[in-house]
Amino acid sequence: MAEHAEYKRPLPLPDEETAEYWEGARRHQLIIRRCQDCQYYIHYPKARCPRCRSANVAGSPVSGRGRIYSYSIVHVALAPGFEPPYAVVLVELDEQSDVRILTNLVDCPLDEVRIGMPVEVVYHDVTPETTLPQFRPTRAAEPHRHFQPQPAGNADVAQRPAQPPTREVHG
Amino acid sequence: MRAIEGDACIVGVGHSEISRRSAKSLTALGIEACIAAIDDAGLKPADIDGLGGSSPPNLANMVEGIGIPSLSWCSQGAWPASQGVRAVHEAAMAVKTRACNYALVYRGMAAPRGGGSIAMRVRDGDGPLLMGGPNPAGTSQQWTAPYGGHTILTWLSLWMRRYMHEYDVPRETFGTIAVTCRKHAALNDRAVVRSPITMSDYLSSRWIAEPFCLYDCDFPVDGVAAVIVTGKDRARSLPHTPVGIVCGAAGVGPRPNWEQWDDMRNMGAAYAGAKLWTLAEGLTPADVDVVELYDGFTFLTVQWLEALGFCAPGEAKEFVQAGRLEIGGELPLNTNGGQLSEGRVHGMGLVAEAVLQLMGRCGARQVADARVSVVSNGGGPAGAAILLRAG
Repeated sequence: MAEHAEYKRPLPLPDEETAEYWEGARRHQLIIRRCQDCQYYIHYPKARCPRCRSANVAGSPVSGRGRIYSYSIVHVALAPGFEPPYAVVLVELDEQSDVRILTNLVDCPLDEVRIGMPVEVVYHDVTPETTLPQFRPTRAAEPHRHFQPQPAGNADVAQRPAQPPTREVHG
Repeated sequence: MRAIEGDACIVGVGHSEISRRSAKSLTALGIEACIAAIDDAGLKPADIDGLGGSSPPNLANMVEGIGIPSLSWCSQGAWPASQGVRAVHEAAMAVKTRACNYALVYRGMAAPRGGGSIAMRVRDGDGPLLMGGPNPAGTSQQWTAPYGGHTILTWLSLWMRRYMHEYDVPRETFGTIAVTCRKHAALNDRAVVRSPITMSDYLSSRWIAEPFCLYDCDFPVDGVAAVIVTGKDRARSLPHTPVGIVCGAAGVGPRPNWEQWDDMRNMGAAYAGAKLWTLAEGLTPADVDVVELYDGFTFLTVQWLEALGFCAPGEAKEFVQAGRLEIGGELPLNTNGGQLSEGRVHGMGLVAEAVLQLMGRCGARQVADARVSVVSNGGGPAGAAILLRAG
């Protein structure tokens, strides 16, 4: 997805540890650092594996599928270019549940966001140099191995008062 | 096990004026609070040889402005949990290891005016600070700022949502904290907001970042609070009955990162709480008469009640009842109105209140026979708590 030229939102500034992630995003690949000895995914990327202490680590492609661990609907102006309300979600990846990606949820009405919702990555080319991985509700028919439908009437949803009707995601 | 900081004690308390916006600088307010604390302890600036706290106010300006001749112990906190409680705990250890005799510890916050914390700036509509300018976002913000999710406000709203989901916690649990604190604030002349609120007010207040509504967030102020820490031997000749620092702990979990924390049912607070009671000289949660638990957000107070063992994990929704937490109840909470109502002095206001309660100096809001108190500070990956005992 190509974005308009005047992109006002904050852009990531990659560093030595994170360049592989952002370069992967430019190629429309989700690259997570992984221990090449014990196969543990290390996110945020670090020079050593926190599980086995190996320094043999490298970026590794993942499926880009996961589910929502938690979410927030932001109603105040937190950064240039964001028009509230918008959804900030924490996605846990199918490959390893403690790999979490903070992202926006796009292509989903705000009142349909739920914990446990299956999501998949979609790439937004926001400038010629930068692509942001974003997530949207999973469209493929293939079921998620982790997803368990949440029972109706969860406190986090049921307690929410009625909201204005114009609750579209600003992705 | 006996904690090294045992027998260190707090002997004086001072506040600056606390207001929504002061004409004075934060340094001026800091000097005001520190001199008030020194006076309250019956000391002179020349007695002070230890200084702890967090900048701003600027340390050099504080030393000169107060008139401290020299220091043999000085600590300016940084992450984690740099706010009031950890600074007091550090001062207790400094006194007990004889690095200094009289430690002055302060913490202040300024309401947003082109600076200040992200959460406060957001709440006042000033927008957050971004590291390295608004665009691009470097360091840890590269993961969050491009998504408009780079503030403690958003991170903790994610934690609260997950906590509510895991334990089926209703909004009323958090509303009870907000309503109770405001009720206590009516008894505190220092509190910047003193008009009562109802559960209905809470439930209908505007969203900030769901599930946080307006009344879940503490109140930004200009203000500083300070205390004096010394050893019990020196305290005997001073005017107030000292308040002993029985022990303290500052906890951090195995994945100390806001977004990558492994289990958002708990916080760094759980690690501090578990350690605290192993050092408590036989005291248990049942011995505590009054608690001053960090309320940067109502959610944090609920977390601290569980972390400190006043109820089991997930049971705060049953435990948090207005009658229990009010003055006169079984466990009076945030008797000064907390940061939700007295104003955000980043934990030090809660320390000061606990000390005043244990000295019996709280007037209309005094908890009868208050002998033991816990004060906590912080949220997310890190937290600190101290156990205090009168006499």
